[in-house]
Amino acid sequence: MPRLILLALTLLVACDRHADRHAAPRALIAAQCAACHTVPGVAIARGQVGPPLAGIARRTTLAGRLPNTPANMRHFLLHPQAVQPGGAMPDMGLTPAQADAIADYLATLDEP
Amino acid sequence: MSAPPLGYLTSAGERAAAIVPLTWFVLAVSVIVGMVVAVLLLAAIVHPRGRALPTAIVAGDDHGLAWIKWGLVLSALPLIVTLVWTMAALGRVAGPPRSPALVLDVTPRQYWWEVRYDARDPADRFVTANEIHIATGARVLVRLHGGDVIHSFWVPQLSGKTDAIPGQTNLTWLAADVPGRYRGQCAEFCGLEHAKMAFEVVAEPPAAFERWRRAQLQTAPPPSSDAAQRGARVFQSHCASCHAVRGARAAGSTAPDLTHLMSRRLIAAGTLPNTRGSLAGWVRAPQTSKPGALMPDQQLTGQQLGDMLAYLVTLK
Repeated sequence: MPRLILLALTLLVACDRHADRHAAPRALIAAQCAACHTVPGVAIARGQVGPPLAGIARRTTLAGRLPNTPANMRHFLLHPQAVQPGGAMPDMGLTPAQADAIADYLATLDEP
Repeated sequence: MSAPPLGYLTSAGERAAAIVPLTWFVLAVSVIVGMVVAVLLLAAIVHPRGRALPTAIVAGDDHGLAWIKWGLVLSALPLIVTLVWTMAALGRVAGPPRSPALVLDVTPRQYWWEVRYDARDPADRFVTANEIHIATGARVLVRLHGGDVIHSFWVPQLSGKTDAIPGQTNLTWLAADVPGRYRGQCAEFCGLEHAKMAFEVVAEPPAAFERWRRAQLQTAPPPSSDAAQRGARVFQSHCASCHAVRGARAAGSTAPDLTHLMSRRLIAAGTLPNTRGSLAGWVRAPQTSKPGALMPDQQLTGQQLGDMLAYLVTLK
């Protein structure tokens, strides 16, 4: 009986994962960004250290100096200290694939 | 198949194994009784007798009395089974083990867990926080020391709840058969961040546990890179009066020991994963992640924060 219930729950969660292609970047954002940024779609991301990321897709400038293009976003996520030396945003040790996933998700946040 | 983090319907150790079948039994009895009552109630609603019962039905009619007798017997049977089973389970789980393989002194505080590993030789003792490692198959005695307010120590898949009461030392114990990470949680409301007062019990094979124990006994190495050295100075001025790092000039005891911070999977008593991003955000502004925690926001520049992070990641 407990196994059956667990199986049903696991299947439900599995369905959910297949349905939502943003589950992986959401989990990454929860793990790496949530303590500093408020991010729509990630419930625990309510940080107040850095800027809120609602509407980030329509913002023109990244880190106060780079045009907000997909390539620049990826570069900034991978090497924030190179873009903004001495800034509060640390190098998080993301892999390129993780940076791509987060950048793709942020590109969907077009409502301020 | 892994159980949900705080699932109490699966067990991973002998202590929980004594309780879980009883939990299922009581649950099943409760559901059956509830259904029987509901069916009888529905039957009475659908087919009302249309008139009040004669008051003499119990005293004068043996047929009515039989209903009550059978009702009493049917109720008493599961209750007696539950009573005997509960006493037997309590007998197996209540007493602490006579010759524990490991003795821990755990002091819950608002809102984290101090964990001291006791040993006959003082050189084998050490202190850590929020992550308890034990060897599989070992019976572990936990002495729960009351700290600031009442807390309760609960690892659903390994043990029941035991309160930690100021001024008292309560005994409980843990044993895990299956290697894994088991979430523990404060189970007595203790203040604003009670819900974010969690910990993990990591059960691992004896050889892996011994490696972990030896690593925890080490002191922190002096920082080598320039950034880490600057970070160590920032740490001394901002953190060291509450936090300890063995081997460095930091000996505070009112907050978690950070000597082996990077060996832990979570930070802030189970609140955040131990990633560089979370660590930076937590150090800079703990009050946004865990409002009411006793750690204040740190007024650090970006440079200081980066240096501090460079130092913290050396605490392996």
